[in-house]
Amino acid sequence: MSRQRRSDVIKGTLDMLILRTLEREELHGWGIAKRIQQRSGEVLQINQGSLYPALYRLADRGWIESTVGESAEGRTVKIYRLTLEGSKQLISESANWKELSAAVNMVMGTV
Amino acid sequence: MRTWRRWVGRIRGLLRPGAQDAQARDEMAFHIEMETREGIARGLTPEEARRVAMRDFGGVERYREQVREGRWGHGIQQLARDTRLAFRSLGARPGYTSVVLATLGLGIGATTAFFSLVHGVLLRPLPYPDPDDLIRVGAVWEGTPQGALSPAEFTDLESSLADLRGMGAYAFGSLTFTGEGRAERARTAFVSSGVWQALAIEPALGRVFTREEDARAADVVVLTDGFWRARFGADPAVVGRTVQVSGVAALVLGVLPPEFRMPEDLVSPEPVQVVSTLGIDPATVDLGQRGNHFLLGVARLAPGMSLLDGIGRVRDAGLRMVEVYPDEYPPEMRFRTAASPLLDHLVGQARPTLLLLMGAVALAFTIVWANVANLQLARLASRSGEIALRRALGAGRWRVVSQVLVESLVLALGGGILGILVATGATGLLVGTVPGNLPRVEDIGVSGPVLAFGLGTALCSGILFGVIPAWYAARGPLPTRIGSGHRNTGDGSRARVRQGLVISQVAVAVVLAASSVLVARSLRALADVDPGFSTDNVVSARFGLPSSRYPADADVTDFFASFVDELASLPGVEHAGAVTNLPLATGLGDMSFELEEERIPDGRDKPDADWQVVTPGYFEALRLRLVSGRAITERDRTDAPGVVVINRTMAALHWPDQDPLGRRIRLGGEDTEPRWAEVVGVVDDVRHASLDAPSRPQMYLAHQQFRGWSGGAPLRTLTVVAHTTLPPGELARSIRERLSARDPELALYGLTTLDEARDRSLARQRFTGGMLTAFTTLALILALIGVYGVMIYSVRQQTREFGIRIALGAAPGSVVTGVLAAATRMVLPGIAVGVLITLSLSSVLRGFLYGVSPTDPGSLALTIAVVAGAALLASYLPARLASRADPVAALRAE
Repeated sequence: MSRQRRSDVIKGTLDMLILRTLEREELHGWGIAKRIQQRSGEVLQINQGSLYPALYRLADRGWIESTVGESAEGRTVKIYRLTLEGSKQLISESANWKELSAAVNMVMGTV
Repeated sequence: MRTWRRWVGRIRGLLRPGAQDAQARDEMAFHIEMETREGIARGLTPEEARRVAMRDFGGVERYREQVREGRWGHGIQQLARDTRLAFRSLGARPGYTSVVLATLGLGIGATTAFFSLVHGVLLRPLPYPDPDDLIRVGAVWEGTPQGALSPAEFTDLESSLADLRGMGAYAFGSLTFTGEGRAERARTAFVSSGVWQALAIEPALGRVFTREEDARAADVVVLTDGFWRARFGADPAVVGRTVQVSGVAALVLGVLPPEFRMPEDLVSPEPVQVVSTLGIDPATVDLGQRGNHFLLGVARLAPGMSLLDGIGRVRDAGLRMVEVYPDEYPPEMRFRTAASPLLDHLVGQARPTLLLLMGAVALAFTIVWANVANLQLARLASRSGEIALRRALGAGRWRVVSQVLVESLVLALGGGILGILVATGATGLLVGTVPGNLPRVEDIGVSGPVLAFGLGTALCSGILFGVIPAWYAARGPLPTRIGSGHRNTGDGSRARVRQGLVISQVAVAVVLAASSVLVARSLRALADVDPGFSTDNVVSARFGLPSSRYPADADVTDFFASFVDELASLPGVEHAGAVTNLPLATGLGDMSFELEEERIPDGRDKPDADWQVVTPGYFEALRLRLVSGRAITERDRTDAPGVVVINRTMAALHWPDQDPLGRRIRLGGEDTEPRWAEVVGVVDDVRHASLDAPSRPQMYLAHQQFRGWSGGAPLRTLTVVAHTTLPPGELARSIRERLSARDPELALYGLTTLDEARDRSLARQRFTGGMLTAFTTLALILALIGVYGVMIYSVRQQTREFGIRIALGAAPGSVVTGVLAAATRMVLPGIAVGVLITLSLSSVLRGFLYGVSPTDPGSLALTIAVVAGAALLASYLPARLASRADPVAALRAE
């Protein structure tokens, strides 16, 4: 396996990434981890284990919910999906993120 | 909807913590399995693939813990776990646990029981609707604290305070019910109709009287529930009937509800039985006649009116009175009207005693607290190994602290519950011992606020005595020698804290012991006071002759003279007499007079003296000591020359170094015709108001002659006294029979022996003394346990050292001396601090003492000796233990 340079997920953005991933499709935990990795062009390597405390935290806040479903291999797994409150949260977090990244870009661009 | 579901999920998670945990574990296992498969697909061997997957995941246990901690209600579960742990660990040490629980239970119990008394007397609201709106309205002038109003002042106040919700005035007296059944004197409140509004009282039957009936003279009555049941058998038909009351036919208007009390009933042992009219008609009151202060004013603030506002209005009304009647209220009189919360006014006099005792209880409780903190510290030392182990296994600092704190709180709550049980029993006991003159004691119990106080005390003390060990647990060294029983580096400072706690315990014990020694001495000084009369075997009883049945002046004087003679002739009675007011029972009025040789110009202050009216035989019955001259005798009849017997204080004041016998004084006010009286005798001083109050100038006048001087009728109500060789109870019965034989309609009351009266006058001091002694004993025992605990602990710690010293040839005696010296180093500073605190409290204590100074060296020396002796005794056992340290065992243990 060729090791690429991977970036740790910036602190505090994991929640947003999970919400964003679940906005497109319902997924189980491993699927979320894979999807984030793929979509970032294998750049973002989330600390896989830390995904689970985050999932339970988001579920407790009511932003995502889980149902029992089947994996592609036919295994019974927990499938997560976004709730209405989760979508609202995602909108506000995305807006914040755009603002922040634009600001960072502006600073970096001037150097 | 979603919120609701989320909460259902949270509660379910809280109730079944395992289920969520299992889910998380499955998810993670699945995750790793999938990663492993991917690895195999990439061409790794299964073992390698699994290893990589595990590495990338980064610790299943750690993330499971994070899932657990992130869950809602995690803190509660942690608390539940700590509580279970606390129960287990306390249960494993039953000796320690029961000592702490017993100490706390006693301490919290005593504190709570006493608080229930303080709450019941001082803090509990009055039994009226919106009791905080009630104010006492009275008049104040130079030399007189807030006192009664005169009819004219009341009438003025009533009209100027019309925008209050009610203003009334009342006075107490008695009415005698005759007719059906035996004659019965009923304590009566004579009230204006405004009192009903102010106190917001509705009758249970019939009605109360209206403003239009205010002027009627006691020919309408409203019965209290108790009197209605006792005298009229709870017959509803009595309402609207006419009954014979004090010689007139009176209409029964209504019956009051059982919970009705006049404000003073809450303070006085003799509750009101009947309410009647005050007989003051606002329309006909002579507003120019401002004197005659006998009315108690009560008012209710209007809704939304503040207390300050109400007080201001009452004061303004007084200022207007002074403006309108400047001659009646000269500036030097400093007359004003004043208001204060009714509750404060009623219970204010009990406040100092109760607060002093509450302070003593609080002090005793600090000793309890320090003992428990000390025990906790000792326990912590013995479990430092366990704590170190837990820290080594990864328990965070906060986890250890929270566990120690939770254990303290479990102990505190257990102690609190025990304490409340103790308080429930002790409160009854306490109420049984309080003096009758303590207001509102009858229905004191462990109520809601008292429960809250007990539990609050428990919790606060739990946090307080838990903080010190928790702090040490948090800062305790990380384990270098888990499981070894050797001293840790934290020991030195812990020992200092424990010594500090003992020093403060000793100091508090000294303060308490000194106070109770002082109060006990003061009590003995009071009991030893010579009251100037003999209380042995003297029986007294009171009755009055109504003017309806005894209209002529001579009827009254003859009745008393012959009744006293009849009593004196009874077998076993040595002397009998009658008097207006018995000493140690009621106060006396004063009367101004002039000396014949020193006439005072009009308008100048004349001397005055307290006065008593007596019949022949009174001096002998109470064995007053005649200093010179003679007593009042049968010679001093109405038509004989006026005579007066004065007391020693009056003689010394007006005729120092001269013989007062044969001197004449002129009695009576400006309005009445003055009468001359010749001093025929001097008697020794009598403590009249109370045993601790110095005697005032006093004069005794003959009952036969007195009516002439006042220009009115003779006194119709007297107390008869008889000195007997028989048991007092028998004499009391024959007094009642004799009176009833003469006139069955006369009501006898206040039957008592003078010994009882004297005892009652000391009841409050005795209560204070008894309570202080009890608290001091408790405090001393606890402080001794504290000293003992610290000493035995330090001796155990140093067993090896003592063993070596003995092995090297030290005499056991020198070891004992060494330990005692160490104890002294703790006890002496404690005593010094305690003495300093006691001295600084001397101004507080002075008010409770008689005949002994709050800085009395003898009392302080006794206190120091007791505390120091007890402390040395408590350290002697540990010292003996030290001297028996076995050198071989000590060395082998190393």
